[in-house]
Amino acid sequence: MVITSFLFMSLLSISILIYYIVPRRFQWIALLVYSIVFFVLSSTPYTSIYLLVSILSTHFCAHGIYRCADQRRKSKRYLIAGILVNAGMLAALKYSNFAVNNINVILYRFGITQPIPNVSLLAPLGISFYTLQVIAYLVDVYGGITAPDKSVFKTALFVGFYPQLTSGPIAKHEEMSRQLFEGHCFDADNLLYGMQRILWGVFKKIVISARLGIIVDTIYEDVVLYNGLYIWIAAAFFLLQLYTDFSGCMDIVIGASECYGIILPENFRRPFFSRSVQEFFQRWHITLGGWLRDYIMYPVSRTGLWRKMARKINKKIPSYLAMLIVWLLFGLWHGGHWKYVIGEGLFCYSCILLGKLYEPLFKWLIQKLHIQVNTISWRIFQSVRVFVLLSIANMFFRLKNIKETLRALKYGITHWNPWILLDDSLYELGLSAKNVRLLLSCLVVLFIVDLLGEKYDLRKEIAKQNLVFRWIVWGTLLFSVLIFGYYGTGYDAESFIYGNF
Amino acid sequence: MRGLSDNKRKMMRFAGFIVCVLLICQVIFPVFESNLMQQGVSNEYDRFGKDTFDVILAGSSTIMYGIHPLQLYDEFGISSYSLTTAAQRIPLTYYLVKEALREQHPQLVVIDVYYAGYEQTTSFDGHTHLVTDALSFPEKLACVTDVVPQQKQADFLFEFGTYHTRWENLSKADFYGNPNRRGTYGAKAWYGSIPFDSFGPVIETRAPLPENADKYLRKTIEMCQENGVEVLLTLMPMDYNKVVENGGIDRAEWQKYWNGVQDIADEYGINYLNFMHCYDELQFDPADSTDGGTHLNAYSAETITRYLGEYLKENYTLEDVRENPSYDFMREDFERYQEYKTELELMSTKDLGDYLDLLKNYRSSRYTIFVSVKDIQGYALTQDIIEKMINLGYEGGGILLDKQYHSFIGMIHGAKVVEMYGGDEALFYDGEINRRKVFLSSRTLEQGNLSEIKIGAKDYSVNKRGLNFVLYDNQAEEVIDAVSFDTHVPEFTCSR
Repeated sequence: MVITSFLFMSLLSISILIYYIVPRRFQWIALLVYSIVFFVLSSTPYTSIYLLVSILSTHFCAHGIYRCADQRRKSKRYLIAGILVNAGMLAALKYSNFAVNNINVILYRFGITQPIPNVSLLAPLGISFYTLQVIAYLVDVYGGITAPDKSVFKTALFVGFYPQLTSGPIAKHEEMSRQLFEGHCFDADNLLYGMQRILWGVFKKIVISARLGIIVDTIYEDVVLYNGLYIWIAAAFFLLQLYTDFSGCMDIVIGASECYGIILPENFRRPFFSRSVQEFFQRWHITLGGWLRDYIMYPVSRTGLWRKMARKINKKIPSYLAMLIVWLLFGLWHGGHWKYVIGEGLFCYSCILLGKLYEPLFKWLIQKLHIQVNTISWRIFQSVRVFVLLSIANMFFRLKNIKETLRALKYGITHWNPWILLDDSLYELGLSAKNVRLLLSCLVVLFIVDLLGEKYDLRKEIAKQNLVFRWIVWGTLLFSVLIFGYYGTGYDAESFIYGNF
Repeated sequence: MRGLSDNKRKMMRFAGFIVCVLLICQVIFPVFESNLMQQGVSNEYDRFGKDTFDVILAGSSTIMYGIHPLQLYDEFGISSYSLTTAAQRIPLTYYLVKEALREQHPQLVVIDVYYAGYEQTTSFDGHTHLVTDALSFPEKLACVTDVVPQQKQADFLFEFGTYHTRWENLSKADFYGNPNRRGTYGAKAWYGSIPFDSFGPVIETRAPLPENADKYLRKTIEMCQENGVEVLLTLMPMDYNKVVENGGIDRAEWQKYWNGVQDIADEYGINYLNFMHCYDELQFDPADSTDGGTHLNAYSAETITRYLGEYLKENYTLEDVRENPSYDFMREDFERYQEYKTELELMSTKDLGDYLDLLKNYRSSRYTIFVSVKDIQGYALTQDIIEKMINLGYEGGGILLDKQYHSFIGMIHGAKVVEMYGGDEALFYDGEINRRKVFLSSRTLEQGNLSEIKIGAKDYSVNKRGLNFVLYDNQAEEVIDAVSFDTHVPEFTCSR
């Protein structure tokens, strides 16, 4: 079930109504029921089994860890078992073919031409997200940060809470447990703010992201024809498409939860205002970055081996190595393909690492060139630099493989065609002139909203205004979605053919 | 915990917001679909109250073009409405008739059985929309859930999901409803002709109808009879052997189904007016009676409407509403309908002489007739044509017979006539009609080779060699016709 669909919105509306009618102590049960309904409507019985195994194993292991808290070894075994089951399922379902393909490459080099066949395994919805969430839960129970849920049904709700099940954010148990299980009294602000957030998310997804996608698809379909500046337009638009799609999705998820009075952690914080690649990933997919930091980077850095390295070599190299592991995993998390490892992982890692290594040089240059760093122009330069670097990184994400990406980059560099900005070529990329103008206007609106969001809580600021103004703002947004959104079948003149019969 | 009154106040405001949104939707949603519904149930139907019509016509475009309700009123006093749409399948007819029975309680329903040979419940989405978009909610819900595939049902229940993408192409016409069928009581008139070979041959063989067609035709008949409403089945005259490529229809194959309808009619004791076996009574000439064998043109429609009117009078007891004061509005509607038909006739005329004759109907303050020459007035002009132009009002038109280049600008607005004749030169005219600026220019070949007829900022001239006419309705502020006749060739080639 798509979260921008009429069905999802209808079910959400009904579920909110029932949630507040049900007595507070039973509200979590209502949420569990909706989550089950959502999962059933979005999955097959076959894939449901994996979620069930995850819930049961997590619950069992968490209780094992907690019971054996004073027996560290036994407790650790439960922890490892829980992580292995869940991570194992994720690895098997998502990365089997990655492993198989790489093994086949190696075997081929050794003259074995009979490849191991790929497996066809259907992964359940959201497995990449809820797996990380349960691993974090188990580690937190092990670390004494949180206590396990008494009931397996509560564990089920924590793991499968439906707004966040498919796309995150990855939430911690100590943040969520009280909110999920204690229930909430009806608060109109929660409901209204939640709906406003959902509306904004839907706007980003079906008005902006959908249009960006059309242009990106057209250009990347044929990089030989659409070369030069087209490639860079596609790269920039894809990054924006990714942002509006993913953050739009998060707005819907967080907004839906807010309607129940449940506040999920933020996953995006205006990443295009970042001044460095490192800061970008502190503002982009925040919960994934936080998870990797808390559950990979810090534990790895605290291992005996790393401490030994820090003592023997220097402190920086082990931290860079830990970062490398994090970034490789970050890349791999996006998918079982080298293009993700290279693009999302190594490329971004390189940008950060080089930034750190060459920091003295950059400082020297800034001083020599008398660059004023506390100016808006410098901030803009930094943000644009980050935008360009991340656009390149995400080319690997979008294009079929590394070879295609390098080919596109080559055509982007070796061809020069700035006139396409002036001669209406941009209106021949799958969108009409009106749609292109609409898209650019919406991007300006998005920029302004994000810019204001750096300083203000916009929803609260709008709420302070007079009634008519508020209604105009939200009404305009709503009708923009209804009129300009990409939904439904749309009007296609061909399908309205009236034949002569 | 927030105070109850605070929550209540905010939720009341939210409810107020939703009500405003719904009201705005009621206004804007129809705009997105209005211009498309030229082939759908005409939205003028909404303006009539309940229990207005004694006869309801339902079915495909063959009967939409063939039968004109306002003519039935004028000649026979029959109050009727045409709930016909392009490619209306019989399952869709069932739901339209169901709603009409609830709202109109007619005495008679006339059902066109063209689609008796069609098995599927729907075809192109657009054709289904033509019906479902016009249905009220109970019937709409029943119809959509019954005949539309499940994955598409949301788009038919919330049709804005289909039409909202038209925002790029909205024009003035979308805001003014259904121009092609305004005031025709659901019928469509077309003045043209495309010849075809022959209506026949036809066969006598009968076959049972395909399952869905049979099922829904029977349901429709039974529903009418349960409500005490009579039913007349009919099949219009057409080329009964034509293969309709983009509709997947082979009419020769369907003849047996059309004959098979007679068995259903006999079973239910109802009449079936099947022109397949009596089209020659009407004496239609395939050369000039249809659009190539499917839809009757307006001349033929007049004949068959009269035929149907007489048939209904003989076989059914229907009130003559011409003397009923509560139907006086129909007289006015008929007058307007006649005007509209005259406009349509004008808009389809390709003969210059006929065109000039028809233009005489528009010599009133309501209309303005513009004319402007581009390139040359035309050496092929005849005395006959010039006399017609003089009769129209251009008294100096004789000069145009000279075999020399002449520019010419003309404007007739009621009694006011502006006519300017030039030699091989450019002429210009700046004026005002009902506070709207008008600008005309006529430039011969060497002087710019241009014809302009601007009303406001827009140029409506077809701008081809010869005489360029524009007929403008000052009241409605719209151009009725813009046409050009190449008067430099004897055929007076017509362009629109």
